[in-house]
Amino acid sequence: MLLEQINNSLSSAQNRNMSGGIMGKNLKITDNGSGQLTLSGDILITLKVLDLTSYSTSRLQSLMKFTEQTIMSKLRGGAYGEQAIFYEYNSAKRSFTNKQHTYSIRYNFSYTARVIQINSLSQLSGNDFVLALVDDIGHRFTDIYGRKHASGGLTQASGGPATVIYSEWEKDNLIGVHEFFHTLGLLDLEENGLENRLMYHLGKVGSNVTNKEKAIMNQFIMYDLRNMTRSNYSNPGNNTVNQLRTFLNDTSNGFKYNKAKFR
Amino acid sequence: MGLNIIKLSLGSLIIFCSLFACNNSQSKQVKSVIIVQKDSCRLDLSKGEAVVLNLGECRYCHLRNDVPRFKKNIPIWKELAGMDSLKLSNFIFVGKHNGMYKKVFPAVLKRIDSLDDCQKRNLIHFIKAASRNQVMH
Ligand SMILES: [Zn+2]
Repeated sequence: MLLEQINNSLSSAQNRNMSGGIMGKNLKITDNGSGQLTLSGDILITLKVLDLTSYSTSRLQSLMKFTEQTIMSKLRGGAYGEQAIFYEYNSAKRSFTNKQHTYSIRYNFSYTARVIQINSLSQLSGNDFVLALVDDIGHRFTDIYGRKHASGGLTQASGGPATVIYSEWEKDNLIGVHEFFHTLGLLDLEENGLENRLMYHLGKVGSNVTNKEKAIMNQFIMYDLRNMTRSNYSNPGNNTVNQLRTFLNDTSNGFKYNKAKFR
Repeated sequence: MGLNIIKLSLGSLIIFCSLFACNNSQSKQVKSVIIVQKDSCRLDLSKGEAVVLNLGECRYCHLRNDVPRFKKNIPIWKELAGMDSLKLSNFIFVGKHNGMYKKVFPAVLKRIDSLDDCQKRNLIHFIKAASRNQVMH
């Protein structure tokens, strides 16, 4: 009883302090007894949008709403991961043992996404996700066929800041989600025949996200399985403000933006 | 902070190498794996990612963040990426993870041994990408 009280007060203290790009509640591992672990719970993904453009962004609110809806619809519905070789899970103790076990991981989180606008860097914590809107990106890349391309957005892979050229986002509404999914660990696709995929990046992006891609994002979101043994989770610091500053200042990226707004 | 992490990982590397023989014959073996370039093997992040997934997902132990790390002496993903390719190959394919695959993860050992050269090179390529501040378009 006493232990329960302590646990309860600890978790409510955790609840109060929680912030960040990934917040999980009611996290639970279910072992079906024949090699499958199902990870479930409520996960809130927050993406903060920082407008660094020098011109009017009149359609911003509707683009943000669209992006929020799309992030949710792409993450929802669960995913089956590859076979994971990890430690055996002990359901009674809610912990992992020291013995090897091969599991197939079933992700069954209930996702909510929030895409919100911020007006200054003070609203950006170290463990937030950010999408910065810029005027232009000078960076060019060469695809697997040797052709050169400009890009409507640029993102530092796996956890880093995302950017989009606002005018390009207006033309291709899915670019915002495409860039954010790089933050969640997805790679670009270039092969012919993959034009219908959201992560295709030579020309207009498609909209399909495969089960494998969903599993990769889920793995990124719950990358330390031990966090599943606590009921609440919020992602650790990622130095978001510094990462964004460094990314924007990197001359090889060729960003054009309103520097006065970066404050 | 970053410097401390580097020192830490270098420190643990030295310990690994002294505890678990990185002897010459083994090094030579790996060198040939890495340096021989086959035209048919294109380095591609998604191929390397597929190898990681097929091995059973290394990143559940070699975590993305160091707070907290999986265990005190287990390098995080970025620290693995910071090793030079040869050392990393030795660690994975020759030393078999300090002998740990055999002891704790025999299922991984089997999968590691079944990788071909191109898959090995793509695995290293994928891990190393984490140290390159990969820019996505
Ligand atoms: Zn992309």
